[in-house]
Amino acid sequence: MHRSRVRGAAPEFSEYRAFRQGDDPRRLDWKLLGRTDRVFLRLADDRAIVGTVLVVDGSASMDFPAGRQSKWHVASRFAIALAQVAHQSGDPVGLIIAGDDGPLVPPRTRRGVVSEIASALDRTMPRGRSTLSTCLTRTELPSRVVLLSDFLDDDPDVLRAATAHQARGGEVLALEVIARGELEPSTSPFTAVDPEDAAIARPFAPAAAADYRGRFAEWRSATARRWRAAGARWIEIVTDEPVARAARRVVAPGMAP
Amino acid sequence: MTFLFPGWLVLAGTAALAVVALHLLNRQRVRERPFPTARFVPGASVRAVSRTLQPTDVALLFLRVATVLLIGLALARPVGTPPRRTATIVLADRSPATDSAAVDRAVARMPSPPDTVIAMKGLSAGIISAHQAAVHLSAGADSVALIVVSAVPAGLWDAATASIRASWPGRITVVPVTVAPIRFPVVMTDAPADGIVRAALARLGRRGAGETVHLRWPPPGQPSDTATGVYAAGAAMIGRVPRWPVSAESGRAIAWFVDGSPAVVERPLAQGCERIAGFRPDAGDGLLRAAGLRVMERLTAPCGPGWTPDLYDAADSVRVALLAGSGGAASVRALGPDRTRPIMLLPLLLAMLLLGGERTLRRRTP
Repeated sequence: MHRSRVRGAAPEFSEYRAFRQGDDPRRLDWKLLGRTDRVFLRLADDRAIVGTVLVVDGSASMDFPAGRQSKWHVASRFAIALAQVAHQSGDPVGLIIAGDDGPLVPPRTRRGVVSEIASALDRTMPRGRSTLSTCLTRTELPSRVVLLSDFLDDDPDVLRAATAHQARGGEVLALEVIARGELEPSTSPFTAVDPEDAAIARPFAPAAAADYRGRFAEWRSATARRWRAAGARWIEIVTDEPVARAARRVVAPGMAP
Repeated sequence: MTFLFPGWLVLAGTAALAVVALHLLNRQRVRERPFPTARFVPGASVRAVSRTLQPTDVALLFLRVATVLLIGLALARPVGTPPRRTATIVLADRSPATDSAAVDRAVARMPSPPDTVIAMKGLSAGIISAHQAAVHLSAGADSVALIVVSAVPAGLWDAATASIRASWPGRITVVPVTVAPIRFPVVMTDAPADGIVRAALARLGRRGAGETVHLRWPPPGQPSDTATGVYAAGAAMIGRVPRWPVSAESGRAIAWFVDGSPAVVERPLAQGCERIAGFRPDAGDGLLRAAGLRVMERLTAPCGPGWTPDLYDAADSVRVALLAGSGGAASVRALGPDRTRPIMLLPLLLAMLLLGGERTLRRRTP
């Protein structure tokens, strides 16, 4: 159960608002009217059930670096942690893997849903191109959408879909997963090849490292600005950060990590 | 150092060249790596990315080349070769017929001390001993010179000497020394007083030191009977000689009466021997004649069996030439089985160590 964003007539008092034409007269505070001769509505925060869907990017770019510290593994662990939190709060939680034939776990509150989500994530190998925009245009999305991706596809349709979802009253939480190796690449020369587009192959020289970091940082800042401007919560997660600490930043942003 | 299979060295060298070429080619080709943020890499030219030489590159190249060469070296089966040196074996004649002091002087006068000096009393045994000594010298030399210091008297030869000499695969240097006259004292007991025996000994030239022969004549007294002659060493001294009994059990007979009974028996002592004569020479000059001298020579000859007078015959040129043979010093390889062992284990172990080092260095190289 969560505090609803909609103020309603629940018994727990929240605030007063001046009566407007069209308001429900049953919500008038008659005692206040008797005392002050002014007509106010008594408001309180409604308790609401917030359905959550975790959309995990299953594209090839998430399989970096190789091994247990890849963005995919970190995103998977994070998704399971968030699913556990949502489930313990009594919210329905589901999973969509945005990739080639990504499995789907419909949002539900039953006991085995977290195991289902973990199992679906375990069975999946990231490959192919991202299908985030397609996933976000589904009409049956629950209220809260948590995106776990590196957002490297830079698809404007994704932001548009997220913006539209928020306009419909939904909530979008964008978690950008970044690999440490992307922030601080190797100092030895190598040829960098985009795993989702082999045509992008650039020789990486140590002398160009600073330039690369600058370009990447600039892109991340611009992306974060666009998403925040669209009303989404934007949080960066680096793969070498402990999952528990990062999860606390997401779940309880006001608390110290 | 020599190699049993030198062809492997050629192959190893070729493989090492190939390793170097591959290493240099590999350096020019920069490794491709999946990198999702590749589009943020500045579009630099390929030339700018040509790899600079790193210390690990040189170390890797060295390890790879060294590994290949060591494996080739191990497969080539190197064997250590002995140094170019001629070992010397001296056979010193210690037979009674050769002057021992002269032998010692000859050995001492040699320009360089020999590696081995073998005392011999016969050429057959001496050459066989030289073969055995040569095997032990094979590790320190590539050839062996055999020197015989001897008068090469007939006594050194036996029936097998010629074939045993043929087994030595090289020349034998003969350092001649003089045949020694028989140098041993003859101690006589109850010699006839008329001095006939001493005169015979003087004729034979007996003098000096050496093995002692105790010749006991029978004490003056009544002989048991007379005999008609005594023979020994292939000669017979004919004439009536008084006879005393001599038991055959008291020693080994070296002279006999003409009727076959022992005339002189020999018994070994701690030093030398004792000869008990069962006759006394007659008063005539029979002992001074050829047959008598021959018998006397036998009675005063060195102790032990197998003695004949011709053992002391000096060497003749034919015998010396046969012994010397022809050619140079004997090659160590011709003398016996090759004792050198190929050195294979060490290069293989080193190659495995280097291979482990190359793998470690390659893993650490980004």
